[in-house]
This record gives sequence, structure tokens and C-alpha cells, in this order.
Amino acid sequence: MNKILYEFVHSERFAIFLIFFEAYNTIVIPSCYFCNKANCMKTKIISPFLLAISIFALASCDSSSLCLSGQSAIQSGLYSATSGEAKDTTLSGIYLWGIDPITELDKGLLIDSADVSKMFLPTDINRDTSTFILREETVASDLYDTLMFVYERELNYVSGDCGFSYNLRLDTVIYTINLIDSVTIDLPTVIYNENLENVKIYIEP
Amino acid sequence: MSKYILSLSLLLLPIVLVAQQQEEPLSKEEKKLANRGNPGISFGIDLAPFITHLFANERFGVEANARYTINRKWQVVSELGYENVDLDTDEMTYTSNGSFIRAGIDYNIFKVEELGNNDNILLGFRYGAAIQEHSCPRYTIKEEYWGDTNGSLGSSTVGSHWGEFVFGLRSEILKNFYMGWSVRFKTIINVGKDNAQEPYSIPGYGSRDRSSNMGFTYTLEYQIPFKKK
Repeated sequence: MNKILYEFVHSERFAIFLIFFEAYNTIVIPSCYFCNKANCMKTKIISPFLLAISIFALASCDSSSLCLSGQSAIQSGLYSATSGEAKDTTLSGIYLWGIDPITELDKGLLIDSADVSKMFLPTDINRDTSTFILREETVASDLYDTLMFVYERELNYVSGDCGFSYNLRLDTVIYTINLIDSVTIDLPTVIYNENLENVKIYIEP
Repeated sequence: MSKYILSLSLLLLPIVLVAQQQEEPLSKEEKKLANRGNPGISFGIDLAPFITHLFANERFGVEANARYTINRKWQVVSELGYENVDLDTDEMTYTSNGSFIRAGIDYNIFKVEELGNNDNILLGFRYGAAIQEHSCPRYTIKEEYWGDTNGSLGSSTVGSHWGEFVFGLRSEILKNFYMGWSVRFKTIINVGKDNAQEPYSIPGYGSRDRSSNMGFTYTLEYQIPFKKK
């Protein structure tokens, strides 16, 4: 509550409100501000209450800054190798998980997912590489591919409330070609609060 | 809540206290005399940093000001202060110690209609500059899948500067003793940056997260009047 009030008191809305409030008291009816007239007392008594009520009403609408999570994720789109980037493609029976060389991470990002046309690949910001296994399991086939993203990290100050993030610059993608035909980097920068596709993954027909 | 009400009442105090003089119609000569002003130099303190501390425990500051009243209309103002920040959140720990100076002018738009009324309605401008030493002993970047990353950034000294537009009221509540408040619209000109580390808060400016900021002051001043002819 204190933080919300602090933010509000330092916000434009509060200042604008105060200016209008005092403009009313001082410029529109100046005699009611710097005087002792009896009919001014009403304004003097009521106005603090109006101000207090208004502040509470406005403060309740104020929200703290929004921090975004997963902002170091590479965004990828799936495309058909035969149709090119003009036509995206969808896959079913998709599994996706990351490979951590030390902790042997075994947690699925996608598990038997259907109609997958885009994938968000969270990067390991402790390292300069992130490796993923992409698997498509269908009745007819069970194909695996490995994707390794190599990137540079740059520490980025977001805000006092949200702290820091890492911006990335993709250098290379190394991959196997069982399910995947090819991978291209369209947008090498992965930046906080930017929602753009970074890589295109072309799938074998 | 009680803290908030306390500070709100402080802010509103001038509204209640400011009225003081009995009204009598003035002659033209008296009006001229009343609007001659009260030249002098005043020194004061700003209570706003103490109020701010109630809302934001991580900040503590002090601020003093000097005001040279040239005539009824014009005043030259200088404000000096210090701010300490000790922030500890899930995202980072941050410390900063810094000082600031603001200098500018105020223009009094209030025309009085009684002798001895030295109240002011002020419009003004300030140029502010701050220097601070800050560090981030720990930051944590949250990553749900791979795990969080921790790091630290060492101490560095940075300077920042900004401009402020001021609207305020100032009233002589006792002989030569003034009370007043102002609302300020601040806009940053330059923020000091060392590597990735930017100030969380700039002394005298406030939160760095916005390129424009609002602020308020609540001042108590004592004026040493110049000898009247």
C-alpha cells in the first residue's frame, strides 16, 4: 500500500490534480485562499476532505510497474521446407526439452503438443549456449533433432522494480537434420519487451 | 495508513493556516506599497524527504534551501540535498549515496490587496544536478526453466542532471517565518551510466524509471529581511 501511494504521490496524475485543486482555490477564487472571510471557511473545511477522498480514489486505480518474465526466450516459427516462409506449418506429437550438460535437466517444455507452429525457447543465461531436443512422434515416425543456439549476452537494466535482464545476440544455430530441413536466423537480437520472431525452422516435408 | 494521513495533513496545513489578515479596502497608494514585496534572504528545510521516507523506507534524504527575494515578483532559489538509498528486493540489492543541487528562479503571480501580506503563488524553473556513488551487490535474473542467474555490479560514481517546472504556494505564517509547498514536473536531461548499471533513484530527481517525474516539496523557511527604507 505504501509503495502504491508513493508511486501515486510521485505520479503525473497527483500533480495535475493538485494543480487543478489549488488553481481552483487560488486563481478561480483567490479570496477564498488567502482570507478569513466566513463564507470561505466552508471551502477550507470541505476541500481537504475532497482532496483526501480523491487521492484515495485515484490511488486505488494506480498499479505498480509490470515486470515481464521469460524475456530471454528465442522465438521460433515452423515453416514447410517446400513452401518456404510464405507458409508456416504445424506439427503434432511434439516434444521439446532443454539439455543442461551439468544438471541433466529433464523437464519438458512441450509434451505431446498438437498444432505447434511457434515455439518459445528459453535460453540458459548462465551460459553462451542453449541446447534443445525437438522430437516429433507420430504413428508413422519418431524423429529427433538437436538444436544448439550460440549467442552473446549483454546485461540490461530494466527498472528498479524489475531489476536486470539479459539481451542476447544470436551468433549461430547448430542443428541435426532428421525432422528439420534447415534453420535461419531472421532477427539475431533478443531484447526485453520485444515480441518478434528470431529464427525460422524449416521442416522436412 | 496513519502515516499517509499524517503526511496528507502536513501537505494541507497551509490551506488551514495561511489565512491571517483582516481585509480592508486599500487606496491606490497603499496597494502600490503592499505590492512592493519583502526583499530578503531566507533559509529553510524541506520536509518532503521525511514524508517520502514514510512511503518508501529504502530512501532517506535531507534538503535545505536558500531563497533570495529580489522584489515582489522575482526570487532566486537554490536547493541542496542528500539522499541515501538501500534497496533490497528479490530482483536486486542496491545502495546509493549522493548529493544534489538545484538552482533557478520563481516568479510570484499573486497580487495582494492588503498591507503586510507577503504570500506568494509561484511559477518557476530549476536546473538540477546530482552526483552519486552507487553499487548493486546482488542482482537476480529469474529464469523459470534453466534456473535463476545471480551477479553483482561494483561501485561507481555517476552524475545526472535534469530540469524542473515549479508551481507552488508560500505563505508568511509568522513574522518572517514562511511555510510553503510546491509541485514539480521534472524531466531528465542526462542520466549517468556505468556499464549496465543505471541509478535506481537520482538524488533530487527521484525514481529513474521514468524520463519525467513528479515531485513535491514542503518547506519551512526563515527570512532575514533587508533593511526597510
